[in-house]
Order: sequence, then C-alpha cells, then structure tokens
Amino acid sequence: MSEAEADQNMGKKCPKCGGPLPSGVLEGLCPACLLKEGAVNDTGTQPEAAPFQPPGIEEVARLFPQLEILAFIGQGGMGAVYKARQPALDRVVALKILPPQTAGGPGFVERFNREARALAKLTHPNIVAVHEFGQVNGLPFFIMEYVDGLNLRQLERAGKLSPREALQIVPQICEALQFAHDEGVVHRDIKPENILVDKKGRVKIADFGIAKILGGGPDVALTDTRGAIGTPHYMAPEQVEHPTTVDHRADIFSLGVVFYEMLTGELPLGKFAPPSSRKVEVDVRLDDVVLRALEKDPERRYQQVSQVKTAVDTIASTAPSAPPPSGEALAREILARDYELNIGSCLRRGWALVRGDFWPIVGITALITVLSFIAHSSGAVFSSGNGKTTAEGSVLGILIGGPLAGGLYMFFLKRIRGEATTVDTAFSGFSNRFLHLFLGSFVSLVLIVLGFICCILPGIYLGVAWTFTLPLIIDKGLDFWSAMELSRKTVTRHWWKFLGFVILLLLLRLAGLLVFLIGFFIAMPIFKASLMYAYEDLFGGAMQTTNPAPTMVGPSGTVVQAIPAKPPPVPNGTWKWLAPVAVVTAVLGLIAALIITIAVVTHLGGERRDRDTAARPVEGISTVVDTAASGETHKISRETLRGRLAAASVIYESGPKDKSLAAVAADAAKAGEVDLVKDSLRQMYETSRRNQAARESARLLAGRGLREQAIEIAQSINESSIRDQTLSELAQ
Amino acid sequence: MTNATGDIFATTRWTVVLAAGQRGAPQADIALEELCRTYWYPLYAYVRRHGHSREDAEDLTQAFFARLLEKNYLDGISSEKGKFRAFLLTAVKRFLANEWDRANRQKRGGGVRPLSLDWQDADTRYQIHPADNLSPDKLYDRVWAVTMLERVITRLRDESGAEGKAKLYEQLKTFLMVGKSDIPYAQAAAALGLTEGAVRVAIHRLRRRYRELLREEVAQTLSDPAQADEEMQALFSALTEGP
Repeated sequence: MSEAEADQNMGKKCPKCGGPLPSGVLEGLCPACLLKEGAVNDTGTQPEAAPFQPPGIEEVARLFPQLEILAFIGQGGMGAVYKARQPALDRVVALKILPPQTAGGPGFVERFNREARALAKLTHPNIVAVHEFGQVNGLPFFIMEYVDGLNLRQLERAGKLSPREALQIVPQICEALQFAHDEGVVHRDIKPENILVDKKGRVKIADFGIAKILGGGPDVALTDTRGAIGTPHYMAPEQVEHPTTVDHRADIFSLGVVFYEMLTGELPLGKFAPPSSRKVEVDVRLDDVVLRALEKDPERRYQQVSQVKTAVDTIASTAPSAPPPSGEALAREILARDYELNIGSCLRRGWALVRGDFWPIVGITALITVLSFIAHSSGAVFSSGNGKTTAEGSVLGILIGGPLAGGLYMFFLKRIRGEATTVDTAFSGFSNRFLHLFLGSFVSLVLIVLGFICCILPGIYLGVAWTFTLPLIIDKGLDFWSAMELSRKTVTRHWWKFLGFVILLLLLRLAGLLVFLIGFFIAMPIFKASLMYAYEDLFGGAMQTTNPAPTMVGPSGTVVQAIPAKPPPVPNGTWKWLAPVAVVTAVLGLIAALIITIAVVTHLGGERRDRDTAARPVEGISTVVDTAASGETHKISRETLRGRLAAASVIYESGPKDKSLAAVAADAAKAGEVDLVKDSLRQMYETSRRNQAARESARLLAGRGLREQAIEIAQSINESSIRDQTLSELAQ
Repeated sequence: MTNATGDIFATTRWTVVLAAGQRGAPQADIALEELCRTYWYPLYAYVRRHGHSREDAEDLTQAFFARLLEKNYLDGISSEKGKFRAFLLTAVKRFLANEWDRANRQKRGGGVRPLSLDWQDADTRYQIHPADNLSPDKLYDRVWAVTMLERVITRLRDESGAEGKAKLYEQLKTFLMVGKSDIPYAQAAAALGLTEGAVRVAIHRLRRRYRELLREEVAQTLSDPAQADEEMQALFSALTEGP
C-alpha cells in the first residue's frame, strides 16, 4: 500500500457511526460498530433484537383451530409459549412454538420426530409432560402440560430462594434427571429458566432435550438462548468443546451451576469460592457436593444424578446445618409476652383431646409409660439381690426416660396442632435431639434430688420450674441448658399458679392410681395433654421450629403464593395400622395394670397373713382361745386344753394373758380337769381377774358335781367377800 | 497459531501464564508467546507514538519481548494482572523508564530477535493510522481493539471459507455491524438471490459465531472470563472517545 492510498484511506468514515475507519485492516469494517454489535445482548429483552418474532394470539389461533389460545406466556430463545385450552378434554395446556428457522436444517424433521417421541415417553411427576407434537406451516410445536407457577429465575429474582429451599428443590431435580437419564434422554440445557416450581412447591423440569432438537447441526450452537451474549454459564465445559458427544454428565454439571447459584445467588465463574464461604448459612458439607458436580472433567464428577440426590438428602436429613437456635432470642421473645395460665381450660382441653381420640392416645401413652417403667425397674432383672439394683435400674431409666418422655410430649404437641402423628412420633426423642433430652432429664433430675436433700423446698421449686424442659428441647430445638433456663424463668413468673397446676395434675394421677391402677392409664394422657396445652399457650407460635424432624419438611416454602398453613389430616394409611397398634397397646397396658394390681394386692395380703402368724402371735392365739371361750366346744380334750394353757402362758401382756387363761380355766372346769384349772388360775396376773375366774371355775366344777374341788378353788380366792359369796353359792 | 478451544470455563491463555508464574511451565511459555504474537503491534504503535524512530521502536519492542519472555516481568505487577492489555502497557512503561533509556540497546535487545515479526507491515500500518493527536495510551488501546477485532474477523472468514461459504461471508459481513432490527433482510435476499428465510438464518448464524469468537478472544487476555463484558466496554470506549 502506497503513501497516497494511505492518505486517501485516512479520510474514510464509517457511514453508520461517523467514526474514522482504519484502512487496510478489518476488511473495511468499522471497529466501533463491530464491537458494539459484538457486545450487544441479543436475548429478547428488546423485541427488535429477538431472533424470533412470535406469532400473535390470533395467528396462533388460526394455526391451531383445535385449541383455544388463552394467553401469550412468554418467549425465550427456544421459542414462544402460549397458554391454551383443549376444549374437548377441558384441559389447560402450554403450547410451545419453536422458531421457524430451526426447522430449516437438513434432517430436522427426522430429528424432531425422534426426539419428540423420546420426550413423550418421559412421564414423571417432576417433568413437564409432552402431550403432542408436530409441525404446522413449518412451525414445529409441542403441546405440553401447563404448570401454574414460576421458574427458578423468577423465584431467585423475587428473593424467595434460601439454602433451605435449595435443599428441597435439588432432590426433585435429581429425581427427574435420573429418570430421564435412565430413559436415555439428556436435558442438555438445565438452567433456572427451565426449572419450574408450581404452586404446591413441586418442581417440574421443562424443555427436556429440546436443545438437541434445536442444536442438531454442528454449526448451530445452543448459545442463542443465553442471557448474556451467548455466555453458556450453565454448560459443561465438554458441551462447549464437543457439543455432539455430550452425555448425561453434562446435566450434572449444569445442575451444579444451578445449585451453586441457588445457594449463593452467584454463578461459579472463574476461580469461584465454595458456597459456604459465600454465604454463612450454607452447610459446609454442601461444598463437596456442589464442587464435585462442577468438576471440569466429567470423569471426576458424580457419575449419576442419584448420587447427588443421596448426598443432598443425607445432609438435609442430618441437618445440623442450622446453627443451634439462639435460646436467648426465644427466651426474650417469650418472656416479653403477657401470658395467662388458665388451669381449668388446659384440663378441659386435655380431657377433650383424650376423649376425642381415646384409644390411640391412651394406648401410646400406656406404651411409653410401661416402657419407661420397665426401663426404670430393669435393674432388678440385671442384678437382683446383689444390692446394686437401684443404681443400675435407674441408669437405664435415666438414659431412655428423657427421650421417651420427650417423644411423648412431641406426640401430644402434634396432636394438639392437628399434625399427622404415628407411633414413630412418640419415639422421635430417639432420632431427634436424643443427647439433649437425655442431658435435660438427667441434669434436672440430679439437681431436683439435690434440692430435696438440701431442704426439700428447692427441690419442689425446681421440680415445678423445669416442667417444660423436655418439650422445649424437642419442639423448639433448644439445647438442654437453655431449655431448663427458659422453662424456669417462664414458670417462675407465675410460680404459685404453676405449683397448683402441677399438684392438681399429680392428684389426678394419684386418683387414677387409686382406681386399681387402670385409672392411671387414663389419667396419664389427660395429665400430659393438659400440660402440653399449657405449653402451647405459653410457648406456642414463638419462633418456627428450628430443628424440625425431617418428615415435617414440606416444600411449600418454595411457593411464591403463600399457601395458608393447614394442618395435614392424619393419613389414612398410617391410621389403619396405628389404630390396631394403639388398641393392642392399651389393652396390654390395662391387662398389665390388672396383673400388677392383683400381684400387689396378693402380695400385700400374703404379707399381712405372714405378719399375723409370725410377728404378731398374740392375736392369733387369743383368737383361738376366744373361739374356744365362746362355749361352742364343750367336749374339749385334755390335750387341747394343755396346748391352750401352754400358749396362753407365754403371752406377755397381762390383759390378753389373763383373759386367755381365764378362758382356759373355764373350759378346764367344764371338762372337769381340776389340775388344769388350778394351773391356769395360778398363772393369772391380776388378782381381781383371777378371783373372778376362780369363782366362775368353782361354779362350773360344782355344776359337774365336783363340789370338793370347787370348794378348794373357792378357798383360793384372795378377797374375802368374793370368797364368801362363792362358798355360800356352793353351799346351796 | 493454535486453535482456541472456545472453552471459556477453562483457563484462558493469560491465566495459564499467571498460574505458571516464575516456574516456567512449557505451556505458559507457549501461551505468553501466543499472546505476544497477537498483541505486539499495539505495543509497537505505543512506542512509536512515544516518539521513537522506526528502528528504535523495532529494537525496543524486540528487547521488551525478550525480557518479558525471560519471565522477569511477571513479578511486581500485581494490580494489572487481571488484564493482559493493562499488564503489557504497565510493563512496557516500566521497561521504557527503567531499562531502555539507560541501557545499552545493542546489548539488551538489538541482536536478539525472540519473535519473528513483520516490521514492514507494522510500519505501513502505523503510517496509515489516522494522524490525529491521540495520546500514546489511547492509541495503544485503540490499536489493541482493532488488532483483536481483526483477529476475530480473520478467524470468521477462515471458518466460512472452510465451510465453502466464503462468498456468502463476503456478502453478509457488513451486517455484523448493523443492529438486528436494522438489517434489510428482503433487500439482502433480493441481492443474493436467496429466500428471505435463508438469509435470515445465514445472518443469524454468522452474527452468533462472530460474537462467540469475539468473546473468546477477549477472554483469552483476562484472568477472569467473566470480565469480558467490561473489557469489551473499555475497548469500545477507546474506539469512540476522543484523545
């Protein structure tokens, strides 16, 4: 190029922007305009930049006479979507029309048909179903399930996504992807826009495999639909390099990007930080899951989506992710309230709850009570007789007593709140917060016992004050010490009322116990239910349950339109087997109670007999003697009389001894055994009684014709007046 | 020139260089040389605009690259490491200030020719640049932008040629500069003797490929590909703003 040419070229200006045109380079193109167009965002936010002008509703209605086109939903690079109704089926559907230019390439029809057939086979609750497909006037279309909800991008923009929601959404995506992968279908375009969440919180994945239909030709990249100038943020590296040889692991990478974005709100670009370092509330254990899904090398990624799901589920279910809830905040909130404990109302509601669902509640309470009782008394089984019985029995009792009681409280709370309960609920203390329940019950027990040993009153105070420790631990997820403190502080504010309440409830139990123990099994649930109603009155509503059992986690939190919290009814399936179990437990409990009652009564009776015969021989003998004295036995043998005399002679106390001896003397007189009469009288302690007995004996001997012996007896009477009277009687 | 992978998730050439640091990994040497080969001309233009003669500028550029490829310049320049463009400018400024002026140019670089560069073409190109009163820094950025675009356009043309669409490319390339809504499809279709739909698809694909290549090329000079938008904006400003 010569200088002259260069001079000419120097004057050139771009006809479009008016900027100077550098000559000899860029084939005469204007660098400024090139760069401007190169950097422009071509996605459809500006209609004129959209690669595809969607047909209007009227035109679509004309093209699809079988449909009633209701509304234009939106468009992306993958085409336009309309809400439509199939009048024949009275079904609302989504109609997706693909850009016409996609239909131009070679082999498109074959590819479209093949892929669409594969898609139609994907029937899964988390995949948007394809009802119909075809081409109308060169426009490829799909008729699909209509999903009433929002996509993840919209949810993200609305700020409705938290790490907790991500843990509920990702497993559903995994299920859908695993299903499709098993069917041999790779999505190839997983991104927030394609993940829909309906109003019930269910995840539905849209546009399965459509990327493949659109991207069949080697020169047709998928980037047309991207938000930012074709930056394939969600694409696996190998998808960019070798678009034709992509396998299901590309979906795993895209899922990793979506997951990362849900957790942090950012894209994993360049050298990105692990999610937990971007946001504190992200469980550290999720880092490994996300980073492994985002491995550049497919071989180092998860090989199946189901592995991602398993990893996420494990983390979600063992969730220590939430930091231990701040007991202080909860305590402040509750203590700031102005509450009123209505004992009567609690008792009434408690009774109503038990009455309303009698057998299951009574049964489960009986089951837990009996188990607790067995645990507490199990020491006897382990080591009876070596003196350590109490210690060992109470160790097991303390170990499982707290969790058992906590689970039972949870059962009642759920009943009160109208939530679904199973037998498992009553045992949830073992799977949920076992350690703190154990520590709570153990520490409070030790301290209460210490309080009693000190001077009783502290023990009573603490016993009442820590009433709500276990429910606070299992329901609010507090650690055991915070729960004890909160319970104590709350109760202390109305301590006397609580004391009355607890005494009333204890009396109720005592009353139950008195009714042959059976009443106990009915009084116990009323006791627990009333207590939990009081708990609900005091603590209910404060702070969401921070550490919910995994079964309670519902996906409704992901839905934009808030669904009013409605207590789920008791599932029929559960109820079917819960009822027999509960009834059997209750019956067994009652039988056990009966057996225990009978055993105790028998035991007590036996003890009494033993005591009567051994420890208290006096009464026994006197009874025998007394019966003899009644005069029913006239023919008493000499041997019998000797025995009776021997027995009476060892009686220690004077009164009964004299009485018995008098009786023996009388009987001996009747039998004419004079020597025995004399022996009896001689052993009598009190003079006046002996004189009376001697007078009687003399009279009886005289009656038998033994007048001489009678006179001899009479002469032995000490008091002269009685002696004279007796002798005068004998003289007559 | 190696074929760029287009994998912008993976490392860019510049990140390869940075990651290697002083250790002198072979792939880092290749990557740095590749970058220098591509962007030596803006550097030359900068030196020329500083008032150096053609011969001086040639020697100086060569000497600078010799030093750079000895890997002594990667140290101590931290703030500009995000962008190769900024890094190269800082490095050459330091080189000019500290080394060149007081060093023996013959010893330093005169005899060493680490890169085989077309100096004749460089001189011509420098001569024909608009002789406005741009500062050396502005000129550097502007030339950088043009160099990069040229590389993109060349690749685009070569790709089209490889697919047997060289003629179509020649006819459609001007539409790369036009906003989508302003493209006169019907007119173009008539001129080319094609249906409007075919022209639409062809232009659409060409534009899309152009954007991919551009973004990739920009990303190669950045440590974080996500900064591509920012870098393109900076280059656009350099092209449109005054001196």
